[in-house]
Amino acid sequence: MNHGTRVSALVLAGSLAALAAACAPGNSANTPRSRQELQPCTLPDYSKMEESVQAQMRDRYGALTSLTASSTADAAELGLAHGEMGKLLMAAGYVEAAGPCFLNAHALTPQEPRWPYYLGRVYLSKDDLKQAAAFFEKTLSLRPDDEAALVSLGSTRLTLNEPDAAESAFDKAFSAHSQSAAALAGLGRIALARRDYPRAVQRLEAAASLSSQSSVVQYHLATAYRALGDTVRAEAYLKQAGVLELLPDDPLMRELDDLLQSSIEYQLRGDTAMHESNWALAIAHYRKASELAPSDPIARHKLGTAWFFAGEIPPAVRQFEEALRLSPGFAKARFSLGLIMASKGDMSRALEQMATAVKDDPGYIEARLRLADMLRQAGRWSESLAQYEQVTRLAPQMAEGSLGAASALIGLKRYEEARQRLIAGQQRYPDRQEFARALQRFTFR
Amino acid sequence: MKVFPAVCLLLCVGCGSDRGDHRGQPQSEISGEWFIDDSEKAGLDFVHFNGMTGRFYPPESMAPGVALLDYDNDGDLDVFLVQGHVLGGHTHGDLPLLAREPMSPGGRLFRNDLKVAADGTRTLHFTDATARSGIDARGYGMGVAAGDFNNDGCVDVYLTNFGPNHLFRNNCNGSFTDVSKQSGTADPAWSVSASFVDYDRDGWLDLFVANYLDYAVENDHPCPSRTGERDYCDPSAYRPTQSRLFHNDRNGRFSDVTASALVGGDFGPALGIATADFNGDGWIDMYVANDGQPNQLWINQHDGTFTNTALAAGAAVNGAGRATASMGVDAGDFDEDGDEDLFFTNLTQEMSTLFVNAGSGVFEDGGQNSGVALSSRRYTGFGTGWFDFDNDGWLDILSVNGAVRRLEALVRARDPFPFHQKKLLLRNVGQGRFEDVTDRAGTVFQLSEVGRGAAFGDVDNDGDMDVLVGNDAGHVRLLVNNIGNSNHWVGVRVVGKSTPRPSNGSARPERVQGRDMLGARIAVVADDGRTRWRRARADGSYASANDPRVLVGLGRSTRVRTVRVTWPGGVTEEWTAVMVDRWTTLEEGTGR
Repeated sequence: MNHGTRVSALVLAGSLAALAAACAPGNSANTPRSRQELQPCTLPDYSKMEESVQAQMRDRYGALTSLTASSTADAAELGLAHGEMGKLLMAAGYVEAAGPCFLNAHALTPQEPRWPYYLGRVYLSKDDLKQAAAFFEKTLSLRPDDEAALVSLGSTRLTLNEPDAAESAFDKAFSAHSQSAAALAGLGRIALARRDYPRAVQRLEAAASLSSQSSVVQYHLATAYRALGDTVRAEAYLKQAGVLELLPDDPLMRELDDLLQSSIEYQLRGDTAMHESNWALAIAHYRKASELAPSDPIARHKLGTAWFFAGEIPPAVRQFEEALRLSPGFAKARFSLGLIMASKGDMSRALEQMATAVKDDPGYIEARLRLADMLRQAGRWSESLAQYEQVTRLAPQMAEGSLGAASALIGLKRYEEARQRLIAGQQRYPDRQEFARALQRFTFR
Repeated sequence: MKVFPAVCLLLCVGCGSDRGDHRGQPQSEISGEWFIDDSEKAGLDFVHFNGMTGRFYPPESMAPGVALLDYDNDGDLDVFLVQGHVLGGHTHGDLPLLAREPMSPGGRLFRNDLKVAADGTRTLHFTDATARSGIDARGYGMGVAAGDFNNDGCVDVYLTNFGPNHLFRNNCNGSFTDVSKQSGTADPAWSVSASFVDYDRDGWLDLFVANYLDYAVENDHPCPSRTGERDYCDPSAYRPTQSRLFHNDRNGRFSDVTASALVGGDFGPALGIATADFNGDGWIDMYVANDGQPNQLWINQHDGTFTNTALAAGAAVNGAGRATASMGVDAGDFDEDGDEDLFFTNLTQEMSTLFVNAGSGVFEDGGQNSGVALSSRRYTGFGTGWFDFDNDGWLDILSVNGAVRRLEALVRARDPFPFHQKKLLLRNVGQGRFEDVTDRAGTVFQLSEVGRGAAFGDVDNDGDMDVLVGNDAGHVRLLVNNIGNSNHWVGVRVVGKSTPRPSNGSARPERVQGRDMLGARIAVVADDGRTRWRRARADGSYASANDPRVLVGLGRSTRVRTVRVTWPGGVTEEWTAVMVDRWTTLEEGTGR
């Protein structure tokens, strides 16, 4: 390569022939004979990305460009630079752009297992399942017990309708990681697909026992029990079923989660911290998100909420007020301020905030319900009844509207209407015992 | 008002093509393209305008639906197309990104002036009849439902909007009257699909309206990608809004019975609705497809109420336990076992879902084993339907596709509207399996567009199913089928009893033709011994209205032994003299 050649703004390694085939897994000659054989690792148009992300793109791309231009850089360094560029692009959601970078990294450092794993993920996104499976297998040839690669391979084979190959991958994952709920869940899914319901139950029960979370495994268990005719267990598992997948520990993909310096990514990290009740970490992430997007009221509201949960009311109020300054019609911030004022006993201002929240966002059920409750507690029965009626109309699945309306009717001394409302509620929400209890009290009245 | 003589109880309304008879030939031997886009040639001059100005308002990416309906009762299908406009008002320098605003704003009604020559040659031509019709549909249009809600024998039109919906009553003289307000159906929510369905068997069509998100332009907030770039929002960014069930009060008005009829009140961000008798008890049920949240299977309790059994029936989420995006949906008996199965389209990588009915309204996800899942994995599907495009007697699947978030490859190619995808045609090869035949279906299948609505029907009355496709910010397409009538077929229109026309002293015929009996179940027994089950329906797909007639492919069979119709009221009748390769009208009360 003529090292004096300048690279174009978007194309690395010059305008060189792309030799994807040379980098395909299983190809023994997958080390490029020279840098000319590398694929163009290009940047997308990043002009509309957040400034902080643009800076990341520029920095990493600059590092790669310098290295490419350097005559002293060895394959390991260059491979790493390509791989890191691929990771940043993938974290940014530019999976297709990441592909050639990872292919180069893999070609330059074929013994490094990370790059074929990421390539597997790239090809999954590109819907090339066969290539994806081949790259997961390549990863496993370098790191045979990698749980994430084994489970990913099993899942890909299952999607390809290759249950035998899928079973082999999940079996290996389970042999190497006896606590792998993901592997067991995969084996359970295969048994389900084969209509081997007793085995499916056995494996899925084992998977469920390894995880404390509600997940789709409970749904699969319900399916298996239903097929076995055990409707009681099926029903019980349906009630427990969640939406989470049982996934293996995946440090490589986790790395990507922490890579991007954008407001939305910090918000997501904050959300995770909130989910784990780690208020301090959530505050740190949301604060960073607000710094990166100072005009985003949502980030401010989240920061205020984290402060509130941490028990720090004044900074919470400041953030909610700032959110409202940025977006005066932002009903969630009004709602939060209303809750804080109510908790301080300032009912008049709390009512004002709730009423404004409902006015700004008429479909905001939580705010409307809270407003109705506050009005009822203030003895403003007619107004509260009107709000409860609206809740029932907008969210008929919520029993609270009917219960509240009955309660407001009692306050208005319209007892027969209240009784009728409770009877109707009892029929409509048979699982809610409050209606029966309230009716029982009625008989003593 | 459309009237016809009482003696005309069994009427041949159209005939098959008399072109050289190559029926029964294997499709691989049929030369030429299976489908050809005839929209331009036929005068369907329409480009959808979504009004996008770069602010990524969610409704821009969700329309348009389309409709096939015979509004003038002349025996051929007319077309209604919904239209959009700029949302949020123009500001300086804030011009639409893709196209100029249309010269004629609002949805358009096109009259089909089909001509059939003596040699059977058919010439399609559409005329814009909007002005004459009086339909003034300037809301931000999403979809269309069609049904004769007042039983006068003329099909009415319900338009779903981002904003108040419109009900246009057909005056039976080529014009319509806006009865939205007085009918009580001007639902102000963001509605997408709707279905006319007689759920209580009283002989009057009720109305289900599938509502989507509680969204207003005033409350719009940006939905940045991970890098901070703007894109269309995920539906979880906004709350879902309750769908509505309106009961027909038989006096031109509807009552909102949502709260009392849909027990438990479950709802999600609904995009699609398909009605059928899923548990085989003779009463019509409803399946509601929700975007990213569990779907509902509302089973009719025979007393004016419904219970949502989706979760226990295995129909709420896909076989992997995930709630998918569920856009377009349709019900049909693809495996010829006498019950109605479900197909619905999802996001790229979610794969479309095929729910196989075990016969009692309990479903199993058959996507994987059928080949449907893998074939659909790369598409974000919207309009879809079961239709037997090659008339071999087995129901096939079409989905029209287009992403809802920017596609990376298209963004990198600086595409101004980076959402387009190709269509997907899956042929039912029997044994519960499907093959992807998209690449063999014709050049129109190679077009990459942002497909949304799709309506299925025999537009040229030649005995095969054509497809009308609505593209977001794109041309409407009319996919005229050139392969179906290589096999034999039988076409039936099932209508209610004709009634005496109120006397007004005129010399017009004395009876009013009954309406299309949406929900009627039809069993066709051919001389090959197979029974093909179909349902007269205009709903299903996405935001669109289908041909209410039923077209059944017969393959090489040249004779139909019986046609059995189970009317929505529960009575079953049988006909034995129904001709093949013809359209026939069957009137309730005239069978055995």
